[in-house]
Amino acid sequence: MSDVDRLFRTYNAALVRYLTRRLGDRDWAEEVAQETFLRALRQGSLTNERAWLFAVATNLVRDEARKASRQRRHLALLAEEERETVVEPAESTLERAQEAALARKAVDTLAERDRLALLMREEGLDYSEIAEALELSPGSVGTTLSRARRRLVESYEALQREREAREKNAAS
Amino acid sequence: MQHLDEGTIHAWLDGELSPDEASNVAAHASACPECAAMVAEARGLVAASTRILTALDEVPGSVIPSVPDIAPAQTVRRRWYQRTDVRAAAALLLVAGTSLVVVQRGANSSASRAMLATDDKGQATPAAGAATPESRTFAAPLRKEEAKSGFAVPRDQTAQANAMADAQPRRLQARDESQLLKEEAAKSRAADVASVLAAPPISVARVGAAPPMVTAPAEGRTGANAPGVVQGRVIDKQSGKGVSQAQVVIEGTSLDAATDKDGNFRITNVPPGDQRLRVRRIGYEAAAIPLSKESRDAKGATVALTPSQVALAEVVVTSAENAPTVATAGAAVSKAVAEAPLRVVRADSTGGVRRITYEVSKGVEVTLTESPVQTALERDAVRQKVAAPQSAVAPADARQRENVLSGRAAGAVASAATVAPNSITWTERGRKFVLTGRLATKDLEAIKARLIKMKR
Repeated sequence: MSDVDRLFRTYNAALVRYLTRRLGDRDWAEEVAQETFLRALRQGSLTNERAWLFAVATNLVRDEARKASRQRRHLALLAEEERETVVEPAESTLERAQEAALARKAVDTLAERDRLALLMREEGLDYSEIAEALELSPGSVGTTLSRARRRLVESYEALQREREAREKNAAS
Repeated sequence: MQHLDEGTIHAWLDGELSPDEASNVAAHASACPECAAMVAEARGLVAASTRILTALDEVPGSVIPSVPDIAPAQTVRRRWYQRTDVRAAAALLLVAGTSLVVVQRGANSSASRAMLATDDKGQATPAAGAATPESRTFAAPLRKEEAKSGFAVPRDQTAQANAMADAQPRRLQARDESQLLKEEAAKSRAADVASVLAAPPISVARVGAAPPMVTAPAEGRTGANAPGVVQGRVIDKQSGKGVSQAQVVIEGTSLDAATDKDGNFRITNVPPGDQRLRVRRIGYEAAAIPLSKESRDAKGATVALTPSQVALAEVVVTSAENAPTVATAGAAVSKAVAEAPLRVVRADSTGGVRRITYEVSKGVEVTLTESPVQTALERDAVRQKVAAPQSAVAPADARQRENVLSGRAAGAVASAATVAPNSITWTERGRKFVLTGRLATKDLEAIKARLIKMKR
């Protein structure tokens, strides 16, 4: 069997961050991560554990996306529940939220495979692990990452310029 | 040799090429100015991507639940990062400088867990085990001997939860799982399942009362192997001197630290297990060493970094409109400062704050700090102070802004090292820049002019 305790300690933080960045929802990310570890528990021994975990988590996300409509209805209910206890966010929170929204938009412009490869790389997966998790050829990971990074930065900067132009217009 | 393709450059920067391939790439990059520029650009893209992705960790914060309204049973499922005070702490950290963020990240999360713990102490004790995501999953498969009964826990839960899944949305299902854990823990010590949850030395109350990473020791591991502190020093392989501002990460975790000015680092709450320590620093090859039992002892690990094959100094970004015009632009400026090479010695970027240190001449460094202008109010104030020319600067190209910039090789600055720390501040396109160094204001101004020129 695989030592799930150790797996969890070693990979949970990275997996949750990866999923949060992918999904934009920390609670959801944690649920998917937990389900991934449950599957690891059932799976028994893993040969390439990190690649396996990230691949399974990625597939779970894909499955989840299919259930998205059901989720959304539920989330809408929850959001309503919470809205009653809202406190106004501070201005600095707003600014950081804006940065995050910009980053989110930029990330959304990437092709799914490029995005996943980049997010995995950020969690320290090496090229062979990324190749295994995404079923890419190892030789193409560098190209995939270079494309993803360029696209991400260019989109982000474009969005930033757009926003600045908007702000300028609003100010004048 | 053919020019380098972008994928190869990224693979090289990511340390994913074989030694042979890597030395080929390094040789080509140092001989071919075009490819050197591409390498510089790629470095910029790598750093900028990381910065952008880090911003994603700011999970949408438009809804911050207030604490008092929540009934006790619900408080238990509240997670540490949802707490307003934790968010505030995180906000402070994000605003703070780069190295601070890196060093404090681990400390922050353990501190916040501790915060959570004290909270839960006041709550019903049997429930405490289910308080955090970590402990919830920890609770089941902790001990090797009881692996079988450990297996039984999640299976049971999954079966029951699955039965409910059709009727109930997933989010509720998660809550029910923790509810199950609670009930089982409370029900009986005799039951197999509960004995796993409650078995010494992990009394359920204890798990709740302190950071779970620390208090839940895995069976069969000695004290020396329990979660602990990893410390050590990062040195330059050639000079043997400490390397500051290197990023040290426990692979596969979010635990990291930056080295201090003597190259020392310290990471706490490191879980046991076979792990590797990865060290990165601009200007050096990335290094990774296994974390053996020895490196966890008091003496600590020493990591020697090999200076990067392509030292940043060799990356030259030339431009037709380089120095001559600049020298005339600042009439009062000493020619030496205006023409000395600007060599990048350090560059990092976190939480929207970017810091680049340039060497103006031997022993004379200036640091350019770029950060978002904090408030609309401050932005306006600064705008009014700054003269028109700066705001008229054309938007720098995305990549060039991150690029490693370096001037041409030229003579050194005459002296100036005796001047007290000095700084000038300006804003450009909504970003705040601070240039600090032991130089006279007019020299700083000259460097600023050159930097702006280079970024164009």
